[in-house]
Amino acid sequence: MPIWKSQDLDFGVDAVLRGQGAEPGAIRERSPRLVDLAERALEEGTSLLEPTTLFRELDVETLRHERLILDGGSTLSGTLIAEHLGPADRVISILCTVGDALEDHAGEVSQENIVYGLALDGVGSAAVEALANAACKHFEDQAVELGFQSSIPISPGMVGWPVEKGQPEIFEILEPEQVNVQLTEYGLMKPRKSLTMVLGLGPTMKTGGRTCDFCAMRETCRYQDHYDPHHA
Amino acid sequence: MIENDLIAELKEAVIQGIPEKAVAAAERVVELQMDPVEAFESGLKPGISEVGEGFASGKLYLPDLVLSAETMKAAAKVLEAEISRTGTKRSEVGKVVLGTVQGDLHDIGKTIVATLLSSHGFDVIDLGVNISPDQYIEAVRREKPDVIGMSSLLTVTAKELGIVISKLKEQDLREDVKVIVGGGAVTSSYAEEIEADGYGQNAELGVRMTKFLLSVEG
Ligand code: B12
Repeated sequence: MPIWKSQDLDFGVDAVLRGQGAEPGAIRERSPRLVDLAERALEEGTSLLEPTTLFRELDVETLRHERLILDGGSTLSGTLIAEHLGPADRVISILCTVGDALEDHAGEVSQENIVYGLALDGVGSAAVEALANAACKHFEDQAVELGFQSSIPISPGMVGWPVEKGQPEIFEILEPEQVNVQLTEYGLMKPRKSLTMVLGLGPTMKTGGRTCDFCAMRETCRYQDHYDPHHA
Repeated sequence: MIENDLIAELKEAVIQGIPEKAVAAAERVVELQMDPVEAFESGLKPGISEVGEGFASGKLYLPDLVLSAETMKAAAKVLEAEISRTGTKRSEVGKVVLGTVQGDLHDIGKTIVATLLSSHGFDVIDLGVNISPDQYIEAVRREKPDVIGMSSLLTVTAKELGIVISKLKEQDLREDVKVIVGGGAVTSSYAEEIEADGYGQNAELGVRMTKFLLSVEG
């Protein structure tokens, strides 16, 4: 399975603050201490990142009753898949992880200093988000060069593709054990700072829209900009 | 006059999230032999309440809340040492056992709830993550808490919350404790469905719910 080696991740202190569920502008205005901690966490945390992207591109054989059957027999299924990937000729399945060194460290730190622990945790979230955005952009650009359009990234956990259905489907395609990412029997990925998604490629895809538009928490989530590829 | 200033300073330090300032003010309280309970009740507590209010209404964010809770904890430590030294009494608010359910490894949300609860004066036992139903049962027997709080980030692990509640019933322990649940994918309707006593969408609302369940004021 191919591994995409990414260049340096492009994210800064604002992303780390957003990764903690905070609005950077407001924090900068009232709390230099939190900005300092985010800076320190970014500096320390960056050295612990092990960014890896695993991907696999497969042709679509057919779409049957909301089930997309891929070359080799693996399937992706559900209303969201049918809606966005229905017109696709090819599908790229993607898994991004930043490894577990940072989260282990953040966990230890949190026992003593939860404020800094939260900042380190924010670095992990921001990093894997940045990695996923970079990976999606890379594959989208590639698709455009080949004359294709790309769907928005679709992730298990979005409305219409439950985690318990989508994660096993992606794991069957990618076999991420080779990059030391496990899916627990509860459907949780280890390392925690990992993300999965699929992109549909075809001559005429439904483009536009944001991942957050398809999230059950879109009304209340304070991490939205953080999840929004257009702001990242 | 100095007394009022110090109490105002304690409150301000918590709101601004400056532990050194809070600790220095608490040390002055002790030095001046002021009533540590009064300093706690009129300084620290209104401070964290105001921050909680700001967080609940969306003006403040999680790191603000956590920083203020830590600031409060640091100053409270100083005051509590004095409270136990002088033998004065602070009202006991209650004991909470917290943990993240089996299969789930998310630590930070639960730890934040623990931090905020203890800053509000609760005695908190944090069991950690990946806690099996049997471990919860054992903790209820051992610690005799007023409340158990369970966290689950993903819907796939949320069913564990219901399993623990059933186990409590099976073991005739359900009437002995209140159960409060929370975490990313848990909703109030899900909490109702599994017959939890309360739900907290975030740490602040969790603390309020815990206080409500135990009829604790403020
Ligand atoms: C940041 C984030 C990530 C980050 C970091 C994850 C991590 N925790 O390390 C990254 C980008 C890696 C990620 C990945 C994924 N995520 Co995510 N993520 C989030 C997000 C935006 C914030 C979660 C978070 O860290 N919050 C900060 C902590 C402190 O909050 P918390 O744990 O919720 O705790 C607070 C409250 O819940 C409450 N609380 C917690 N416990 C308790 C206990 C009690 C008793 C009480 C009263 C209160 C309480 O108080 C805490 C403080 O206020 C949420 C959406 C959201 N707004 O919540 C989605 C969310 C959790 N993720 C989700 C999903 C689907 C995923 C992925 C499966 C996506 C994918 N396909 O790859 C993966 C899974 C990762 C894995 N390891 O398996 C879904 C889960 C939905 C579901 N059906 O289960 C959510 C809810 C978003 C959504 N609606 O789609 N995610």
